[in-house]
Amino acid sequence: MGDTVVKIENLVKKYKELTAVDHLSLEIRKGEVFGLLGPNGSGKTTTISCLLSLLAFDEGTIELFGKTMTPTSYDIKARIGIIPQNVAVFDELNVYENIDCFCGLYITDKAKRRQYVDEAIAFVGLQDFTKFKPKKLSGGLLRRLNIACGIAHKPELIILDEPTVAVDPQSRNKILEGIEELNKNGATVIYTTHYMEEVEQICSKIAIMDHGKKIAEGTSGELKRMIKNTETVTIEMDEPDQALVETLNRLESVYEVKWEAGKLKIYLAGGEHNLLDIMDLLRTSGVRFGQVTSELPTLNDVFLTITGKELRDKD
Amino acid sequence: MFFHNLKYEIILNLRAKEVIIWMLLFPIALSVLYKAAFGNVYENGGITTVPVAVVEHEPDEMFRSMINYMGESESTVDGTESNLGRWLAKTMQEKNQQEDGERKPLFHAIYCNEEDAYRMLEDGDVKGIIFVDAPEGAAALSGDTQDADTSGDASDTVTAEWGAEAIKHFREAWGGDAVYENADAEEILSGEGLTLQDMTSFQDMLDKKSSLTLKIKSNGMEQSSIKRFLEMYSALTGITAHLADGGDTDSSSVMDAAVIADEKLTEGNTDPFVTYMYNMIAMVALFGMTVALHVALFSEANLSDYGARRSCSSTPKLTTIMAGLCGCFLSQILCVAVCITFQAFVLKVDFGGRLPFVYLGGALGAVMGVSMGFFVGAIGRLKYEAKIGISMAVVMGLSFMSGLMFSGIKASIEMSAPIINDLNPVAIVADSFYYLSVDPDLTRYWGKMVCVLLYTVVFILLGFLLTRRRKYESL
Repeated sequence: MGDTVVKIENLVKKYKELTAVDHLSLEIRKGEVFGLLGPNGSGKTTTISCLLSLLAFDEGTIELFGKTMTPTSYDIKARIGIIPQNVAVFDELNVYENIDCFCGLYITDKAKRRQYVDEAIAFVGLQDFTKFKPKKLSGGLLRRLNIACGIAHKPELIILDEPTVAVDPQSRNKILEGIEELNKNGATVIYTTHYMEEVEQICSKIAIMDHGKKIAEGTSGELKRMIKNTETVTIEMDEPDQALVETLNRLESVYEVKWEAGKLKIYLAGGEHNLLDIMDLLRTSGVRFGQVTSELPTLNDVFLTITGKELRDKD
Repeated sequence: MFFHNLKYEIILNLRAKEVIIWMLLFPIALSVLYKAAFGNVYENGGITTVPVAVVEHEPDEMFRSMINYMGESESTVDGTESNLGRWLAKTMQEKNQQEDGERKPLFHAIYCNEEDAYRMLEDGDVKGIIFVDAPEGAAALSGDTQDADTSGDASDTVTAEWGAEAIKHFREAWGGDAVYENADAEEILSGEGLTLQDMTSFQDMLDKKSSLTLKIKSNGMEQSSIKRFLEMYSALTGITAHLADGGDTDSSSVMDAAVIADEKLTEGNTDPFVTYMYNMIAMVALFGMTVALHVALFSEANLSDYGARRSCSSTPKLTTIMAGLCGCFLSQILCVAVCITFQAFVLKVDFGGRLPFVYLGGALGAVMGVSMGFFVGAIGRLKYEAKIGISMAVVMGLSFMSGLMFSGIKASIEMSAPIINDLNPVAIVADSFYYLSVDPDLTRYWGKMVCVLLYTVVFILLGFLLTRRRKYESL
């Protein structure tokens, strides 16, 4: 248990009639990149706010580094870095001053702080923008500055609350690479997002939340194995006759065949060389077809299977 | 950590556009405008020649010579002028003369009968009618004209109040103290072309105690000029009569009375223009409200993302708030000091000999403004921009009520609801400056400063009370 950085047990947070967090229990171990995945309003940010002792909660306990977290737990706070969802930097200060300003909330030694600020600037790749005011920075650079302000003091636990919202792909990749590097350097990371691809890319463990509840938890593979579907084959072709559909349904791994939007979708559960079997069957049946694609299941499929709805609206 | 936060607090304040615009540029621009618009008006004591009708029901030589000397005259009535009248007029004229020595006529006196005078007043050709030794009937209102209170006690007529009362009246009219100076009577007499014989011959004339009535159609600066002229005339003739008529008949005393000199009661400046500047300094001080709004906003996790970030840090909230307040105090005091310095040394506004106390009052006013901003920032969950707008409106409203835009509003409030002036923070600061101007001691000034400090303590305590909570119900 000595490796446990965050332990949340039966956390309940209510806003009048609305239960924002409903008996949530989590355990995050040292060195993990823990993803909190869920649609907007699922309770991710509320959970983080309770974790940081900003929000009062109704039930449950929260421990960080083995100690109960309170608003005056300054020794614990010194080990945490927070990157809020909205960019929280001062327009009147330039890049260097902003990072120094927030780093100074943790580090009192000037020489040490100067070194840390320089390292943070290098880490997020803002060396060429140190004298720039935030308004002169692009959205992606601004996000990087936001991250630098949160990690400059070299925290052991870094909490990133949807850090890639409204960020261009290049900056998003840079941010994700940065998080992986922070983790390699020993930091434990809590990463909240509704982008399943990001979670799959960087998180070693994932909890999926919906309506304040944890609906699933595990590694990406573990989560995907929770659902029946292991592969989806999509074929461009004319609408098949009933005989072909029945033939396909008789294949061992196929559990569902659907005709959707001019494409035939074949859902498979387990099995090997499924694609080859389907292609052979189509050829022998003399069916003309075009593009054939095979997709492995995503966390959205997991979410869809568990909740019956999409994780997020299609972008 | 405190000094680190203090450093960035000051940097943030002094780089904020709102601070630069509202705390520095706006007051400086407004000061320049006020100086351009009102500065010379008050300094010159009225630079326009005021047309006035004079209706003599009974000829008064001294008054005629006086008013003729004060300006241009068109006489439709025969009469004579007196040396003493001219001499009194000259004494008064010197008080109103422009600094560059140019003598401008104060009045264009038109001697006419009562009927013509009323017609001219109705047509706007004259700004007022002066009735000399008017009978009782002349005091009655005609049309929408009104009697002006020229004696300071709301009576319809100006009757020369002799003796000590006149001296008192004179003091009020001139806004300063009047003392007798030792002077060589003969020298003055020769210098002014006036003889002791003239004085004696006017004893009889003064005994007549001519009654003067002013009728005006509306209030304004020109009407005030006529009124002030009559008040000063009454005072001067009163002093002269008192000295010539009473036991004190020494000729030198008579002349001593005539060469009345101002001896300031205070080290301040009672120029009405300066009171606008006082109000402006008070306004800038209270603009500290807008500067300090962020102290609470940036410390509270439920009010801003900055607050969330700071609340998650290992720096205690008390440290960040104290550093924020101190930073605001310093930057706001700096802004007020710049405003006062600009007015005093660039615009050459005369704050009298108590400039250090003006700085002190401005500084404490700035501290009060900051504390108010801290409190307002801590209450409610309105957006920062909304709170800025509300604070600006509050300060401007309080400044308006204190007489920043229209000096008469404060007097009106004082008449109808004086408690508002007593509670208005802008008025409190502006009043403290005013007391520096009019009071020989600092008792009332310190009284206002105590009020300022009380406000400060109350608002800071309330602010801390609102920010003391540890966790929030919602963010």
